[in-house]
Amino acid sequence: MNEVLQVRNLKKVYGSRGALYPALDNIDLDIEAGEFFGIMGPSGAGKTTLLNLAATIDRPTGGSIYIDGTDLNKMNEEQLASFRRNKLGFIFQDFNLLDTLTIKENIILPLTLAKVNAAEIERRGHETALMLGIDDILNKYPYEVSGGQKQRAAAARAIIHKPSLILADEPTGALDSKSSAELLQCLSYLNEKQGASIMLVTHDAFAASYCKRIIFIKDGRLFTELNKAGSRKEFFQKILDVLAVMGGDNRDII
Amino acid sequence: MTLFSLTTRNIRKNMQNYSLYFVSMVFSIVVFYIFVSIQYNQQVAQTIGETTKTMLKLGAICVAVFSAIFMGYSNAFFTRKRKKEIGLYSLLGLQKKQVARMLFYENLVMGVVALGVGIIVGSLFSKLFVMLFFRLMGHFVQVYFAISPQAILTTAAVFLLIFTVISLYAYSLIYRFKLVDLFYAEQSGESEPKASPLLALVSIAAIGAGYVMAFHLFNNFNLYAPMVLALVILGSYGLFHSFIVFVIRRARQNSHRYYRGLNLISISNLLYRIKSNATLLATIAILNATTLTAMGMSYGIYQDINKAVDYHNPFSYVYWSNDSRDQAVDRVLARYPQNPLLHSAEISLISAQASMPGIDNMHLALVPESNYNELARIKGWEEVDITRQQDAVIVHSDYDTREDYVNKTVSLALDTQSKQDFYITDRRPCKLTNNTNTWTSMVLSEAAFAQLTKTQEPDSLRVLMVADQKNSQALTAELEKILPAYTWNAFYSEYMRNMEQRGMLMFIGGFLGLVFLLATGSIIYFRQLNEAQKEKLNYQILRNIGLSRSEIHTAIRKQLLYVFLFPLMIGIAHSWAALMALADLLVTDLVTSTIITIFVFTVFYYIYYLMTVKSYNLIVNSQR
Repeated sequence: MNEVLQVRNLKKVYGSRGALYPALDNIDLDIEAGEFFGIMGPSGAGKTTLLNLAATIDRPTGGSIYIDGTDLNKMNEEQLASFRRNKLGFIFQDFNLLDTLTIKENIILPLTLAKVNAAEIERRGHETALMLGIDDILNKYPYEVSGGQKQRAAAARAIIHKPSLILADEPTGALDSKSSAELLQCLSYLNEKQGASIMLVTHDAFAASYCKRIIFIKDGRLFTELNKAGSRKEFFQKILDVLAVMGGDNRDII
Repeated sequence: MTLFSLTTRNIRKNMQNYSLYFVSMVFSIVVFYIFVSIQYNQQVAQTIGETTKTMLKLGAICVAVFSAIFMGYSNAFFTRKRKKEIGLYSLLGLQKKQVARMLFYENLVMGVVALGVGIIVGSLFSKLFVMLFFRLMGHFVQVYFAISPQAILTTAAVFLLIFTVISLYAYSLIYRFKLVDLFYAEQSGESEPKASPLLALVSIAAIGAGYVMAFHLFNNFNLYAPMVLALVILGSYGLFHSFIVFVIRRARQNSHRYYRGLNLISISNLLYRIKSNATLLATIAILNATTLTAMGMSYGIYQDINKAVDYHNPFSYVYWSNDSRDQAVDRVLARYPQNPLLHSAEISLISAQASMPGIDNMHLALVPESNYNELARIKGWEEVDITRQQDAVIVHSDYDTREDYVNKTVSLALDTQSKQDFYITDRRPCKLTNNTNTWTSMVLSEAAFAQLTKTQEPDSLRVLMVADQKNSQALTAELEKILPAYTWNAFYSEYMRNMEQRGMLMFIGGFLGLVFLLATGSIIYFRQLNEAQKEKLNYQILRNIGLSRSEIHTAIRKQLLYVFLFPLMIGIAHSWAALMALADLLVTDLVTSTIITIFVFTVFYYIYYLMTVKSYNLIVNSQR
């Protein structure tokens, strides 16, 4: 099995001298190719820090991250940008679609940046939109469509260039429960049928129950790990149990 | 914490936002102060004439009016930008009255500080500009440093009035905001801009028609000038609202180019920017055109001085001669070896009423062929050779009339009874002698002229040419004592009068141009920074997707380049047409001065572009 993401001894400290605040402490993590992986934890546990570090938007204080065997510490700003462009896909809570572009243009953006030829862009754009069921809104602008459609468009943008790893940061946070379920089904589909590796950060147990494996972090440290066995409902129950044990922030449990 | 200390804190914290506004404000005050201080300067008052004083006053008024408009605009921009902050104050329980008063104080404090700085800087530079002023007008005077209390008082009064009006406007703005609105972010996503091809065509046609009409201004200035302005201005607004949108939309349809790298982002952003900014950009294009035209014209007219004065005053001195005057003049000339006499000629003139095609009662100065040729040899004009007695050559240039009299017949009314017809075979585009003494002239054959002298005694005019005529102040002053007024004309006096007027025009044109440029530049700058704030999130998204900072920088540079370039290009086109039309109207050559003006303007404009890119980049693309 080859690992998409390897995290070794990861450490992140915020703040300047005098008022240091460790956000992540000694995290080790391996995500294999084709995994649907979840990270849970209460607010302030370091989930988003971990995601930002994996997303190469932020730099660790110590330790190292490998994506597809590449050490992120050894890359400079330019290289990281092109690495993000080619190897990573992002889905955010607030969609992060560009208002000035149509849904279609938003989806194909990563391909245009990679300078793929126009016919190929056209083909893949259509194919991806079809897969996510948004082919009928391609020529609309983000403000003309619903939140669920926006998030599926964002998902389409995240996978169109076939990245090694898709990073999803609370993707269901701004969606109603029906749209949430639809999106999560889309992600499962991408994971199972397309073999996409997904890292999902959430504190919503329902969303997390779609993952195959979940780690829980608390106060910057690994708390426990949970593997999916049995049905999604049983997995959901187990997640709730862990959250109850972990205490702290479980107010989002439905 | 009192309202006033909150105010001063606000200013200090917002200083970074305000800095360019503040600098522009100080600059306007400096320029105004300099205008006023020149007006009140003792040395200047002794040298310049009434007209020049009036022009200075008008210049100062222009600066004040324009400063008021531009400061009002910037101020409204800032107040709007702080909507949220104002909303927060209201939410915390400050009354609208208090918030409004706070903004009022804020504006006033800033205005007073700018006024102080402006007057100090203005005083420091006033000597330099008085020197420049004298230099442009061709005077070489030892200038003393002087601070004029009147100038300070006038500046303070005018600008305090402007600040008060602007502050009152800011005050009223608060009352128009609703608390809910203040917290709503600006509506993101406008509908996709639509461009009507018809409007695009109409606007281009209007501008084209305006250009063509500009070259026929001399036919009927009062009718055509407003029409040209209306066509070009309306056309420009149409152009930005339709044609440019149309062009960008076309670019969007070419998927090979559109789907390439950053083009997708740049082009779509540009389209939105142009659409929401169309009115502003068109206004800027017109301001650019006005600035360029004003600067180009004043510079061109200043540059043209030698040619124009030489045309209107081809000889050093011209006077109606008689023996006693000639002797007196010769005695004076002999005392000034620094201006030795180069040429002297005596010509005979008969003035006559003529009816020409199109004009019935025209003054004509008649001169015999030999006299004309003598003058022509001095000035290097083409000589004439009239073979038939009924032929004549007309002497006038486009300055006088654009009518073409060649191959037409002129009828001279010599006395009440008889008329005599002459056939015009040719034209010499010059002026026979200096300004006050002659009008349009006509060269006759020796025989025909001799015939005329039988009924009318010719006047005798003496024409002198001295060396170094531009430095003949003493000689000219001496001659003025012995020659009665209105019987003579000196190149030197005319040259100095022109230097003063054109130098003045240059001074005012240059300064006003600078103020305009500053204001225009600031308006685009603030507008773009405002957009940068709104676009911050979008650039964050792009960076997450994997655009490097340098790529984002490139995208910003490209996008802003077009925002700056469109109004500049249209401004240049308009001013080029305007200046060429003016050159045609004034019969001068403005090409060189126009090119130099455009170049200088573009350099300053480019600096604004660079500053905007830098600030924009800092807002959307800074390292955290």
